[in-house]
Amino acid sequence: MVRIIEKMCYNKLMNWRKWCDDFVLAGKGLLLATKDKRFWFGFIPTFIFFAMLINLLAGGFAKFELMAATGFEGTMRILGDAFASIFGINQIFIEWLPTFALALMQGILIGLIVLLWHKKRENNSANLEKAGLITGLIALGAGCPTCGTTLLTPLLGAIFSTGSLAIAGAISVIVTIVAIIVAILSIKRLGLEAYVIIIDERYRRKHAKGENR
Amino acid sequence: MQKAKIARVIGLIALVAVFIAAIAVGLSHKTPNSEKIWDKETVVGNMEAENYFIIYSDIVCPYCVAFENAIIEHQEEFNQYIKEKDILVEIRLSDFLFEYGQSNPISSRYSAEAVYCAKKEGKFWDYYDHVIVRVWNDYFKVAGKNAFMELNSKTKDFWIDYGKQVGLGENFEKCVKNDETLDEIMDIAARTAKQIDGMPYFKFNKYISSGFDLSWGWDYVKMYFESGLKSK
Repeated sequence: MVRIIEKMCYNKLMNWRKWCDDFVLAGKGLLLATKDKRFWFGFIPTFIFFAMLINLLAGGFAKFELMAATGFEGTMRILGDAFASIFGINQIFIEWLPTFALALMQGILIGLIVLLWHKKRENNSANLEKAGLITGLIALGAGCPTCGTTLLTPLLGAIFSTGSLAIAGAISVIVTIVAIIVAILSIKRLGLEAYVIIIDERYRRKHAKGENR
Repeated sequence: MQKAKIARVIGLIALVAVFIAAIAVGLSHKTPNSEKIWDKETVVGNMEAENYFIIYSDIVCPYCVAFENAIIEHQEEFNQYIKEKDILVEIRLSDFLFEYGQSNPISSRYSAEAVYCAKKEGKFWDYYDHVIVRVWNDYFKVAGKNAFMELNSKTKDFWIDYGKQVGLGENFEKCVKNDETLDEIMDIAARTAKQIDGMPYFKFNKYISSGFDLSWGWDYVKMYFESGLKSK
C-alpha cells in the first residue's frame, strides 16, 4: 500500500514538492531578471500593448467599428482611454484586475523570453509560439461572454447561426482558463531557466575573478 | 423586315428604360418609420424623423445597461440631441439572452416580462428607466459584468418591487406573476434573433455595431449616434 502511495506521489506528474520548489526558484529567477534592463525592454512594451489590446477587445469588435466610423479624433480618444484603463482609470476594479493580471503575465513572459534570448543567443521560437498562443487565446476569450460580444461569436456565427451566442460564451471561458494555465506554466519554466542561467553567470564571474588573482 | 428590326430595338430600349425607372423608384421610395417600428410605445423622438436608430437590448446584458444608463443620466441633453439631429430611437427589448444566450439567465425573462407589463399599464418608460438606473448602480457598476449572476438569482418579486417604486399596482403584479406578456416578449426575441448576434446591438441608420464598454459614458453614446448620422 505504502509503495503504491509512494509511486503515486513521487512520479513526474505528482511530485508536488518538486513542483513547489520549481515555482519558488522561478520566482527568484524572475526577481533576478528584473535587475536586467533587457527584461524591461521586453516587458514594458508588451504589457502596455497587451493591456490595451484586452481593453479594446472588451466589447468584441465594437471599439474597432467605432474607430473606423469616427475617424482620427475618435480613434485617438478610444486609444487614449484604453491606455488610461491600464492604470485602472475609470475602470470598475473587479473588471480591471484580471485584465491587469493577464497583461502582467504576458509582459513577464515576453520580458523573460527577451532576456533569455540575449543570454543564450539560441532560437527561441518555441517560447514565442507559446506567447503567441496565449495572446490568441486571451483575445478570443475577451469581451462579454454573457452578451455574445466576444471575438468568437461572429466566427462561430458563420457555422452555428443564433446558437453561436451560447457556444461562444462557453468556449470563451474555456480558452481564457487555458490561456492562464499555459501562461503560468510558461512563466514557471522560463523563470527557472533564468534563475539557472543568471546564477551560473554569477558563479562563473566570481570564479573567473578568483582565477585572475 | 426593316420595320420588325426597328420595333425590336424600340422594344429593347423601352424594356431597359422601364427597368431603370423601376430601380430609381425603388431607391427613392422610403418606407415610413411608422411601418418599420415594432412598437410605438417603445420609441422616443419624432415619428417622421430622418434618422432611425434601433437599440436591441436585454436588461441582464451589462453593456446594454451601461449604454442606456448613460442616456438616462443625460436625459435632457439626449432629448435635445435627438430633436436637433432629427432622430427616432426605438428600444427593442426582449429576453433574448434567456432564449438564445449562454447561460439562459432567467432574470432576462422576468425583467422583460415586467417591462412589458409596465407598458400595458402605460408606464413603459417610467419602469424601464427606473430599472436601468437601479440595475446599473446596484449591480453592474459595483461588480462589473459578472453581476448578472447575482441578478439572475432574483425572483419575479424583485422586478415587481421595482414596479411598486414607480407606482405600479396590483394589475402589474398580476401580469408579471401570470406571465401575461410572455408571448409578446418571446415573439420579439425570435424576431431579434434573426437580426443580431450579440447584445447590445445597434442599428443607427446604416451604422451597425454590437458592444459597448462599462467605463464609457454619454460622450461615447454620442460617438455612436454621430457614427449613425454619418452613415446615412
